[in-house]
Order: sequence, then C-alpha cells, then structure tokens
Amino acid sequence: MQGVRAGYGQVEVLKGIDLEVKSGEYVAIIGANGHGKTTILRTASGLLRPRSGRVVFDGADIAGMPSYKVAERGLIHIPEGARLFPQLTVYENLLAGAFSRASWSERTKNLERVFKIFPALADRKGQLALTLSGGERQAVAIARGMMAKNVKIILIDEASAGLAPILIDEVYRQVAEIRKTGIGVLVVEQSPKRISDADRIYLVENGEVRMSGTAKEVLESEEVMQAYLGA
Amino acid sequence: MVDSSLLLPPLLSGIVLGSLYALMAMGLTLIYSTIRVLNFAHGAFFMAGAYIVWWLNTPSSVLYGTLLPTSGLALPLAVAVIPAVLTIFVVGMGTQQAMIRPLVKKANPLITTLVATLALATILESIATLIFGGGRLQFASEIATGVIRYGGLVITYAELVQLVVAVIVLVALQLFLKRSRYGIGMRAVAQDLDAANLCGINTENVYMLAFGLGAALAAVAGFLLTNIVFISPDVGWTPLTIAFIVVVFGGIGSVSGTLLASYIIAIVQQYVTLFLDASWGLSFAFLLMIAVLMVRPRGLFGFKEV
Amino acid sequence: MLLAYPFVAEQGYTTYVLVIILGYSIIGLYYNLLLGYVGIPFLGVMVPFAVGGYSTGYLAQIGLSPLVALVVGATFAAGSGLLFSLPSMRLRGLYMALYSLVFALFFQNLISRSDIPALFQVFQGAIGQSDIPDISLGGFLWRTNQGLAYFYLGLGLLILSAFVLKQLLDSRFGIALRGVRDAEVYASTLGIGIFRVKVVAFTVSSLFIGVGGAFLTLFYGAIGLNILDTSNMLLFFSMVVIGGLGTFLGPIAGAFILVPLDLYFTKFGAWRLLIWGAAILLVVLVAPDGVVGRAGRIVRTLVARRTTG
Repeated sequence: MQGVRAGYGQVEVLKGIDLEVKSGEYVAIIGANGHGKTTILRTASGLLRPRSGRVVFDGADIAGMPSYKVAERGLIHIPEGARLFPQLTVYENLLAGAFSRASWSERTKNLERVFKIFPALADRKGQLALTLSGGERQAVAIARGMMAKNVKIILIDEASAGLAPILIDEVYRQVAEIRKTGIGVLVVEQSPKRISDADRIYLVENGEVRMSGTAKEVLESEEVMQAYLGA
Repeated sequence: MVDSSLLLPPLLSGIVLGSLYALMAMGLTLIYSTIRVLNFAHGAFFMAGAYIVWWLNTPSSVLYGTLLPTSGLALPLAVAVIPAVLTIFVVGMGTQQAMIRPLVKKANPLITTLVATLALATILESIATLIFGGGRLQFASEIATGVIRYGGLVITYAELVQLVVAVIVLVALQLFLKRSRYGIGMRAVAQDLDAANLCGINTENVYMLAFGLGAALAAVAGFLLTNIVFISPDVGWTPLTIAFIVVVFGGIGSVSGTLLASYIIAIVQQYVTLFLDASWGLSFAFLLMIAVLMVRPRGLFGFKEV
Repeated sequence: MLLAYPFVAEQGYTTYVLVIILGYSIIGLYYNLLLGYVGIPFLGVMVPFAVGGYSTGYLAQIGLSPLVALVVGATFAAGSGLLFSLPSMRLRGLYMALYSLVFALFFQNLISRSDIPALFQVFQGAIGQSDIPDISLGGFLWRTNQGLAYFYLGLGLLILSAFVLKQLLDSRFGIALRGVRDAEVYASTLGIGIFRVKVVAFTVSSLFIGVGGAFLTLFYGAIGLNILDTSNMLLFFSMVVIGGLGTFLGPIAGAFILVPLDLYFTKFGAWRLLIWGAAILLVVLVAPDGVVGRAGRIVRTLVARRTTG
C-alpha cells in the first residue's frame, strides 16, 4: 500500500498509509483500537475503496477491485469476528472458501491440507457454524481462507480477540503452520507479546504509520513500551 | 353432520396446491434472501412462463378464425416447457443485471426496486395483453386426463402430475442449494455478503443466478397451475399475493418454514373453500398470517436479519 | 401566482388536470412521510385513499353535506391507518412491506364482495359508487367550470397539509421519525417510543391520504374498484420515488410530472400501460434519487464547488 487514504462517509480514517508485505513474510500491525488497523485490511481486500493512494498486489493494482476478485488472486482476508456463515455447517463453510472454479476442482485436496493444519475441525464437519465456540470459529475462519487454491498472503484481523490464552496459543500455532507453507501473513494484533516473532511490525496510530521496523526495534521502542506497559 | 369423506379431498388438493405454492414462494424467498429485494414482477414471470408454453403448444388449427397468435409449432407440453422456463430464467437474470443491480447500490434499494419491479410487471402484463388479448385462454392440451379413484377419493391425473413435477423441482432445488458450488455460494451470500465476497464467491453471478432461478420457479408454477385452469394477463397477481403470504408466514430465509407454510396455507384455503366459499380462502390466509405475525414477527421460522 | 392563475391562463382542461395534481400531491406528501422520512415500505396506500373516498361518497349520497362528509371520510381513513398500524408493532422491513400489501389486498377483497349487505351498501361491490352529490356551498355547484372551485379547495387543502407536515417534521416527533428510519435497531432499544411514533405516523398519513381520496372522489363524483388497481399503486409509488424520497417537495414535483403524463398516455389506448411502465422504469433507473433529490444534489455540488474554488 502506498499513500492510502480511506474512510467511511465523512470520516477519513486512513491518512496516508505506506505498508508492505513481501511474499513469505510475517508482518504484524499493532496499535490501539479505532485507529484504523481494520480499515487497512478492508482496503487491502477490496471491501473498502481507497480515496487516494495505490494498493498493489503481486504486481497488479487492486484498489477498488471487487473483493471476490482480490480473493481469487490469492489475497485472503480473514475478517474480524470470524464472520462464518451461521446456518452452514463447518464443512459447508470450508467449501464456501473454495468457490473459485480453480479452487473448487481441487477442493478435496484443499480439505485434506486444511484438516492437517486444523485437525480438530475434521470431527466437527457436520456441525452448524453457529453452534461453535469462539476458538473453534476462529479456526474455521482461517481454515476457510486456506481453502482457496493459491493463497499467497493471508490477512488476519484480531486473531486473538475475545479468546482465552490457550486458544490464542492454538491460533498462533496455526499461523506458524501456515507460514511453513510459504504463505505470507499479515496479522492485526492487540497484544505485542504474541507477535514477537514477526519479521516486521507496523505501529498504526490515528490512521498513520507511526513506526515500522523489525519486531525487536518496534517492541523495544519507547513508544510501544509506554503505550502498552503504561507510563 | 359433515360427512367424513368430504374432509379428505381438501387435504389432498391442499397438498397438490401447496406444492405449487411452494414453488412460487421458494422463488420469491430465494430472491429476497440473496439480494434483499422484493420481486414484484414474480407474478408476471408466472404469467409470462405460462403464455410462452401456450404459444409454443397451441396448434394453429385450434385458433382458426381468432386473432390469437401462436407459434404454430404445436410442441407437446413436456417439450414446450423447457424453452419457456429457460426464457424466463434468462429474463430474470437480465432483470437483475439491468434493473436491480444499479438500484441496489444506491439509496433506498428496497423501495426503488419495488417500483422498478412493479413497473416491469406492468410492462409484462401489457405486452401480454397486446399480444394475446385481455381475455382468458385455455390450453389446447392438458398435462393429463382422467382420474384415479381409490375408495371414495378422486384425484385427477393432472393433479398428480402437478404434484410430482413440483416435488421433483423442489427436491432438485434443495440438492442444488446443498451440494453445488453456486448453491452453497448462494446460501453464503444470503447469510453474510461481505464474508462471501472475501471467500472469493462471485457475488455478481450469484445475484444473477438467484434472480434467474426465482423467476424460473415462478414460470414452472405458472405453467402447471394455468394449464388446468386458464391464462389471462392478470393471472399472476393472486399467486403473487399467496407467495407473499406464504413467505411472511413461514419466515424469510428458512426453507423448511417456506415449505411448511405453503402446505398449511393451501390446506387451510381448501378447507375454507369447503365450508364457506373460495373467495374467503384468501382472506383467511391473510388473517392467519396476521395472527402468526403478532406472535412471531419474523414468521414461523424466520431468521434474524442482521 | 397560482391564485391568480385562473384569471390569466385559459381554463378548461388545465383546471381539471391541476385539480387532480393537487389531490395527488396531498397524498404524495404523506405517502412520502411513510416511505421517505420514516422509511417504511408501506404498500397499502390505496386503503386510506379508498376508505376516505368511499365513506365520503356514501355519506354524501345519504344526505350529509359533502364538505362535512369529506372531513368525516378522512377521519375514517385515519381510523383505518390506526387499525393497520396496531398489529405492526414488531414488524420491520420486508415483513412490514408484505403485511401492508396483503392488508391492502384483503381490503380489496372485502369491499368487492357482494355477499355482505353492510359492506355492499357502502362500497357497492364491483359497481362502485356513482352520482355522488357535488359541493354546493355558496349556492352553486362546485364542479362547474371544470371544477374551478375545487381548484381553490385543493390548493387550500394542499397548503394546509403541507403546513401540518412541516410542523410535524420540525418537531421532536419529526426527529423521532427519522430515528426510526436511520437507526431502527438502535432506536428500538428505546422501546415503546418507536411503536407510538409509527402509530402516529400511520394515522396522520392515513388522515391526509384520506383527505386526498375524499377530495378527488367529490371532484369526480364517482369512485370504483379500479382505484385499487396495481397501476394506481404504481402511480402513487412512482410519484413519491420519482419526485424524491424523503424530500419535502418531491411528491408535488412527482405529481406535476406524472399526473399529466398519465392522462396524456390514455391516448395510446392499449399501449398505454406498456409505455407508462417503461417510462417509470426508465426514470427510476436514471434518477433513483428522484427529480428533487437529483436537483438537490446538483445544487449541493455547485455550492460545494463555489466554496472550495
């Protein structure tokens, strides 16, 4: 993303964002709530059209492209709150993630791949999504994203929101597994300690990138220490 | 005392009629749950489908001396249905692309699409009147003749065919929605549009398909029903009303609710006709609907709309 | 200027058309209240219209002074609106739309019956009412001169209803109304207030729609089942949508456009409905904001350009 400005209605939330995720990289965005982290992801995946600036994925300009086309190209956004299809079973939810023709023909293969990373889901195949617990939903959401054929980068919004620590461990185990397959991951996270093994971190404040650098640089900086550990 | 053998026929015809209502209602609910638009032209699609079959089926010899047009092809009914339904399917998709899509993006989509589809219904009805005249037409061939007698019960072959065809279509629809790529995609779009987009589901195509399918269902119902009764340009309004009642009664977004409601309403109507008269049937259905709405404002099985 | 009109332009048919426009404008203003301001997809607008029209016609026929009958008829119309709104407490969006539609169809079913004596006496089933007496205040029949007197009456009624509407919209009630439209979910957490707002909105709108119906019925001298036709519903709807949903003057503009158009199209005979439907479809697609809505936006963009230029 370069110089992206975006917002809702009269409100401009992103005031010029520059950020980058290289293939295979593990990048995190941290920052207080309401400062635009989710908006960044939504602009990337096409749910929101930027007012100015460029959004480039894999060499192609995707700003304002309909989200399903963005997903087809391999940029998968796992939204905040999982957003599963409540009346569909786990199995059907996963299938929904494999909608594009290319993915559909390989759905059995993708299912196997997904069940390897998320073994617990295989047992719950026939269960209605709305009966799942928070942790299970998050898992299904990420798994669903993985059902697409050529996933290149996954955007995960609020991976740990509302989950108990053990469950958050599980989520990050899944992230690690995903990374092993060479897929790039961009995580929006609240607690800095979870993402200490990220390659790079962006600190977003008031719709701007306040700081960026390697995980060590950012996490040990003055600002972050102050913001998160209290002054 | 009422003869108990009188009580069974309304049940039977209610089941047949209910299946046809289900076709109409499923079409309407498909369109609404997916696109969030109320298709006022649903009755017009019902009517148009019937007219196309009539046009394909009626041989010119029958119309000699009248001013009515016919294709002269005199296709047998079973054959004629296919192009008719396909045409309406395409018309439905076209309507979605040309009319619904631009309006849905702007303000007040529910109301503007109401006006647009109502206008479309008016257009279709007037085209039918211009081509076929405003009077009632009969089909030259029936889907079946003869009756079956069992004990004291009578059911016509025609009703049987109606029932079987309707059930087959309904089952096929269910399978489609459950198993196929676009079926799941459609259900996904109905439940969460944003999430569906993020999954890579081509929502544009899903919308088109939903509208086309909905229209096609109406067309099938149109042919089946009018074949035994009569066709006229305004024949679609009552089925439209009934479809509305069924959908409200059963609850939007619930397949089982819609099905159940179709049969309940049809059976109630038949019994009311038995004890009072046909014109009260609709009013009773309406009162029943209101009663249900007061207790369950989303219909029997409706889901919360987010 | 409008008042002076009759002395300036040639009268005759123009007066006739204007009277109808005025009548429809009154209806449009309040239908817009429901559709545009409160945001309720109300599909039963013909009911208060019919109740107002038929009851006024009936009362005038049995001897009540027509102007008084108009007032009473409108009150009955308001009653029908009240009756309609009572079961609708928890209905939203689609369900409200369908409920109102079926309500209207049920009503149509009822009044077209010939088997219930009380109903038949008033509504006359398929025959409808005709020979409704004219207003004769001041010693002359008001329908003479192409209804010039009705023109003034209509104008007065329109101004009155517009005035009342404005007051309503500007009051606390008006704010509550828009609250229902913009954030019903949030507003509904405030409970009973919403219901009361809806009931009042329906009742008041039905009152004035009934006034419109009664007014036009007296003017025509007759009323029949054809007013419940879908083509009439389309007219009411389009008048509001094309004029501009949620704009104050929109429906009046809509009436000014559509009523003459409707009358003009009758010359197309059998093609009338086709062209009518196509015309409305086109306009809705091109300007879903409506004429006034579009104009408003154009004005606003022009103003914005000037201030930033």
